[in-house]
Amino acid sequence: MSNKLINLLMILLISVFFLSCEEDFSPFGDFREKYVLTCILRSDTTFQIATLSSSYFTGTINPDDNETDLAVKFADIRVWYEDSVYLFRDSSIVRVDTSRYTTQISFYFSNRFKITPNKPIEIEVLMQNGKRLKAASVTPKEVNFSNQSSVLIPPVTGNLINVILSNGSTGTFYQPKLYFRYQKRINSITTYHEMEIPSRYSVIDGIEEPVYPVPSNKQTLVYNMDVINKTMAYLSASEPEDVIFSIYENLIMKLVILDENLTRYVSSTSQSFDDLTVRVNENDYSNVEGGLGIFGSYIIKEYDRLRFRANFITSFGYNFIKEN
Amino acid sequence: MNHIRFFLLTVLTFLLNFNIFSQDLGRLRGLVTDSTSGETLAFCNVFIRELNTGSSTNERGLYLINSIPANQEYTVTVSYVGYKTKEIEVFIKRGQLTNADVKLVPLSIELQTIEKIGDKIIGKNTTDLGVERISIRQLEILPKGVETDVMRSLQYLPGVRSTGDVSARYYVRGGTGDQNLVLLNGVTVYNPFHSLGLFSVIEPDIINSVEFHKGGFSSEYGGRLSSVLNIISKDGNKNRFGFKGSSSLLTAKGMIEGPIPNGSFLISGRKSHSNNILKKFLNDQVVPIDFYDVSFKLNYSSKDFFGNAKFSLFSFLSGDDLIYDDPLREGFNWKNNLIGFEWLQIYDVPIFSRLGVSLSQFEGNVIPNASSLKPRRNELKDFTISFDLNVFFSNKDELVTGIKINTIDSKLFIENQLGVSSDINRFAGNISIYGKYKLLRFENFGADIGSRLNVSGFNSNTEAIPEPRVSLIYRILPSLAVKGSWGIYLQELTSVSDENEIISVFEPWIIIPGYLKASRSINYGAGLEWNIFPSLTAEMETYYKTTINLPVINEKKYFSYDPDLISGKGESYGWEFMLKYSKEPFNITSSYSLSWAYKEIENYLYYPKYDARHTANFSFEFNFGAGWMGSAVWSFSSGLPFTQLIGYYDKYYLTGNSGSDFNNGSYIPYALLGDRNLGRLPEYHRLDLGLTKRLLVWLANMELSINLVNAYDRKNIFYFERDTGKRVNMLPLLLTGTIKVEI
Repeated sequence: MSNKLINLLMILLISVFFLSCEEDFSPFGDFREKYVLTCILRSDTTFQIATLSSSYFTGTINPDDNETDLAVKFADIRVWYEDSVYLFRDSSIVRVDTSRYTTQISFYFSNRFKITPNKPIEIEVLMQNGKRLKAASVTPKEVNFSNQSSVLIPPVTGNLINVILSNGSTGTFYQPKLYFRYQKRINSITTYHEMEIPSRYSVIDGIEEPVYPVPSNKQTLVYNMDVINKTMAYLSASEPEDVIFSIYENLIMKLVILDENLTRYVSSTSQSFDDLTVRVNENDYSNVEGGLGIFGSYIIKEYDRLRFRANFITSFGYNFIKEN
Repeated sequence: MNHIRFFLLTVLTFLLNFNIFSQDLGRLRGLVTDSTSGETLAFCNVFIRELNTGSSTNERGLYLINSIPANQEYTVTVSYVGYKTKEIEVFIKRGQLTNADVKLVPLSIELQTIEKIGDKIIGKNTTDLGVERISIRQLEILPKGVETDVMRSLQYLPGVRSTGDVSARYYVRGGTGDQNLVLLNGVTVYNPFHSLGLFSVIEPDIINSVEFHKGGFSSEYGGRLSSVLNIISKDGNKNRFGFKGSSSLLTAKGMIEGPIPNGSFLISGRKSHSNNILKKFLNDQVVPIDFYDVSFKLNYSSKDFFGNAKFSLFSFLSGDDLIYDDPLREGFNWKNNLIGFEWLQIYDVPIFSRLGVSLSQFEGNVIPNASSLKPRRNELKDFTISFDLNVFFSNKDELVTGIKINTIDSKLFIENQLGVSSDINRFAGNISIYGKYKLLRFENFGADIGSRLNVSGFNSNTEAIPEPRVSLIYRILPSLAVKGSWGIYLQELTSVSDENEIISVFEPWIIIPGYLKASRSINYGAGLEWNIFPSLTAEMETYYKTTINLPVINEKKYFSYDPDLISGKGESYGWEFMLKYSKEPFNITSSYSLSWAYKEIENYLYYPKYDARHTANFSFEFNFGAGWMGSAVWSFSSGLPFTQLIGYYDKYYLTGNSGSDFNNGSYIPYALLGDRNLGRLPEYHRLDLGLTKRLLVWLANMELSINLVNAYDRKNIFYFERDTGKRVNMLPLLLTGTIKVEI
């Protein structure tokens, strides 16, 4: 009896060796067409843009296999702001990067309004196939800067430049852009430029690259003198010696203030993970009812109290342009 | 305070109104130990031939048989796997407790035979639904992967799931991973895994006994919803000094043990020495993990000092470091440290007691260095004082009662990319009491009825919530028994783990915040146990479990004022079947389970990542004789859930790294996902083969083993990378070996 059992078990074991084949596996489910609306209203221009497209299915794991721009045309897009409704007209521009899509970039626009703080906004899209998308938001609240007197760079003590928001809130996100203007003179020809100061430098693929500020809820915007020094040095690093640089005294900070929905959207697109964690699902934030994408707004506030000291600029061998 | 007074009054009433001693009967009590080392032997069979009744030793090696007709001599047979069965003659005196300690002699390597694990004649009315008592021999025959691992071994039990070969983390009957309580000598181990969850921290060589409760556990255990893994470590050789060393492709280990005056000691250590083997588990990634664990135990027992008392001081330290050479890469480290003191007391009347004092600490860190990650830190300190009392009555019934005073100091700091930080610090205390009555007086019927009560919970909303638990057994025929259980379970701690991650490096523990209620589960169980033949046993169990207030990560936390956790629900049910055949030279076990698990968050119902409809395991062990042992284990599972791709769309990203101008955003293809976890991965199956040779070389016992994992190199999918479409498989064919030397 036990011999028969041994034989049976051996047969079973051997037969299992033929089960090593790899099964085909498809990660795809049934394709579902969804529409994507992207519309971010701004306070610094009356030229407001919206884009509308649909989802696609390539049948492969590579989305770049789709070479057809699925922009949706001839939709009726309306935005309600204050007591008016603004109709967005469709248009197109020439596409510069034709590595994937070759047709013109389709978009919708209105050039009749710019947003101001703390106002409700709504959008509604009606497509030719009868499908409708809707979204609503509220423009960001106004913020002020605490320090209204001049802030000199470099500071008398310490290594940090702090710009403090006096009435910010933890529920609002801010992204600063701090830049200075300069002239470059080559062979009697003067050109005018701007250079943004990054939040830090980081080595990426062996090359030191600037890393610019990302949106955050921090109400104290901090810049490090080491980074500013490095930026000033990089300005002329790859230029010939006979180029003359002249730096304007005043720096300009443009503070982008995001509304709540745009904040959530940026948060969901900014996740960063270590190389070991394996995530199989992602969060995709959208406030568009009936579709995907984002309807939000941002306000830009300028701060012009930051000034270079003359001796700081001249220490780099640059000219200093005094401003009133 | 009123609850404590009521509790004490109830205990006193029981003690006064029940006769602990009856004058016409006697009792037999004793300790069963290994004759060579003095180690206690848990779950031995102690059988009185003349009465056709008996008992089994508990996890401390103690046994007690009540209600023995007095003034007679009896033949007591004591048997245990791997030891020579021993018979002793005892005379039971009227109204007295007779002590009979038994020392069993281990079988020589050549003569070792396979014996049944657990004699079904004993414990006819033991309510053990969902309980698995695992011997070290059972651990050793199961697939090792790289080396024997107690947590990985659990995955071969029906009702216990993992999410793949990569992880030793386990999920029991539809519950989440943090619903499993792991105890080492009664002390909670909070993160019992090394190397990203690949292996458990508890080294098998220090283990004396393992008891695993899959669900429906009785009231002496609290604080978790799904399962209890109760590990008791060895005491150390009381008779002579000994050394054990071994090495595998991953670790080197050593253990020293020996006697001290009136006691013994044991020191054990393990250290990783190579990471190459980990590449097989981690998709060929080079992961510079370095880990260690150290265990220490000191025991003292003297008749001149609290006679029949045993004092133990033990400590367990483990640490993992993951440090890359590149300063731009993030680093990780985590530690488990625990220290405990235990006083076991056997009284002249049939009462046992245990006093325990312990401190268990867990610390986990994510160190960003110059990477883009944000820092994360978790610390947890658990200080516990517990007292348990076992009272045995003359009618065979038992009363078990206890109190536990527990303080937890938990700290968690995490910050996301937008600077939204969560700083969750809590210090809280908990006093809980429990009591249960084991009805054992009837030959064919047994019951375990009890309850726990939080006199003072970690949060005020958990006070005075009773956790009643009932477990029943009825033996219809000598070979056929039906069982049932029901209970309410509460859990106030949670591990903040992201269910979207299938490999996670950071799983912090916190007290469930006060804005949420404690998790609560109701478990129903039923089972059948059938001893078809003396060598063939069948068991069937079915369960149904519902959970409310399940804390889950709030995926919509965009602002600091958004809650970190939200509440969800869970439901699971299933049916498990196990068949065991044991006749020399074979030992065959097969199991099958059919189960469903669901989770619901904000009215969205889905399958959790560990839900598998069918699971089967088949294990075969063969003793060739002369110290040669072979084994084969085949595992099968139907596909785990995953979320399907249903297309792509061009998503707008506001900022890149070329500047902070919002006008410079770009449209990048984004994978559109379908309904969560509605798809199923292909089936998983794997065959592991093992061959072990035990031999005596001069004074040393040696064990050489070779294991072939995934013998037919089945490409079991683990996941696919959405960005690249690359399919990542689980363990490929792997040949490993270990060598063990014991002096």
